[in-house]
This record gives sequence, C-alpha cells and structure tokens, in this order.
Amino acid sequence: MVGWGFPLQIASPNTLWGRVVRQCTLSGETTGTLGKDNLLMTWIRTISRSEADEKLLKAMEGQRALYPVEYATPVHPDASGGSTIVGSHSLIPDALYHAFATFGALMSPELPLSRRQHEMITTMVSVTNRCKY
Amino acid sequence: MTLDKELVEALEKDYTTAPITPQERVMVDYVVKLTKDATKCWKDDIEGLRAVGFDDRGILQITLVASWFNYINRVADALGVGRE
Repeated sequence: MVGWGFPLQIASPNTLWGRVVRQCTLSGETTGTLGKDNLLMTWIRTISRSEADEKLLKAMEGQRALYPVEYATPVHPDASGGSTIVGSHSLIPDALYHAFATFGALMSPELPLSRRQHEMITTMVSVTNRCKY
Repeated sequence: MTLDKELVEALEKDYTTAPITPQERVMVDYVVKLTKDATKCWKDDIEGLRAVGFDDRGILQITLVASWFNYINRVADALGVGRE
C-alpha cells in the first residue's frame, strides 16, 4: 500500500515510493538503474525519465504540475528522489497522466475539503486496506 | 503529510477514539465503509454527511479522494510498490 506519502504517510503519489529498477522522478529528473543488491523496483518494467519518449515526458510533467507544493517531496523517495507509484504507470502514459492528474485536481484548494481532511481520508483508506504505502 | 504524528497514530490504532471532531468522525465512518464494501453505503450515509455540514460537492470530493486512494493502494500492493 502506499502513501502519497500517505497513510502512513499521506501526501501525494509523488511520495508514494516503492521499488523500481528505474525510478521515474516526478520532478522530471533522470532516474537511474539501481544495483541489484539495492534495487528499488516494482514487479513490472518501468520507464525512466531519461528513457521516456515525448509522450511519456509530457504525461509525467503534466500531472506533476497539478500537485500541491507541499506534496512535491516524496516521503519515501527512491534513489533518484522520484516517485515509484507514478513510475509504475509509465508503460501507459495516458493512464499515468489521467490517474495522477485526477489526484491533483482533487487536491485543489478551491474545493471544499481542507488538507487535514484529505490526509485523514487517505490515512484511513490505507489503514483499512492494511496497505503500508 | 501535515497531520501531526500523534493524530496519525491514533487513527491507525482506533479511529473511533481518535481526537477528531464530530464532523470528521462522520466523514471517516463513511470513508471506512466505502473502503470495506461500498455496497454497504446507503442514502442514509449521504444524509449523515449533509447533517454535519458537508454540501454535495464536499461529499463528492470525499468519495473521489477515498476512491482514488483505494485505487492507488491496489496498484501499489499488486505491483510491489512499497513492499518487500
């Protein structure tokens, strides 16, 4: 389970970290291939920013632009400081963009809920799901 | 995360005894129900949220944030994100 940095670290998908062979950074920075002994990897292949084509780069940058500033820093960063949960979507750029842009839209300060309420909701979802993320 | 550590720990341990407001309690009850089995949610739950001050836009936002995070939890667990 994840945390956007949530639940157990709520925050943003940018802060949901996991393990990926090649970490995609939400910041758009290059992700590196980690050594075998300390791989942070998902169980499927992911595409790093450095290897991303124009469509994937646009998806990564587009969704990130919608995130609240306070959630920009991963709670559980990978070796490159990127987000594993976002990177886990990298094989389908359109899904990556729409999934995380939805989250960004839901965090808008123009909507009724406060940041405290956002975090309370996400914390309880992860606790209920017994998800460590 | 901007919630203080003590509150997060209280929510994790037993949210029914956590130091949250009555409005927050109704919201969290709804979120937990939705997460466990959304078919158990009924009109009464929506009326309960309205009764403590949430308008329909707020209720939609609660529902979407909770549902989105359930999606993320599923993806993370299924693909090994954050797992050993």
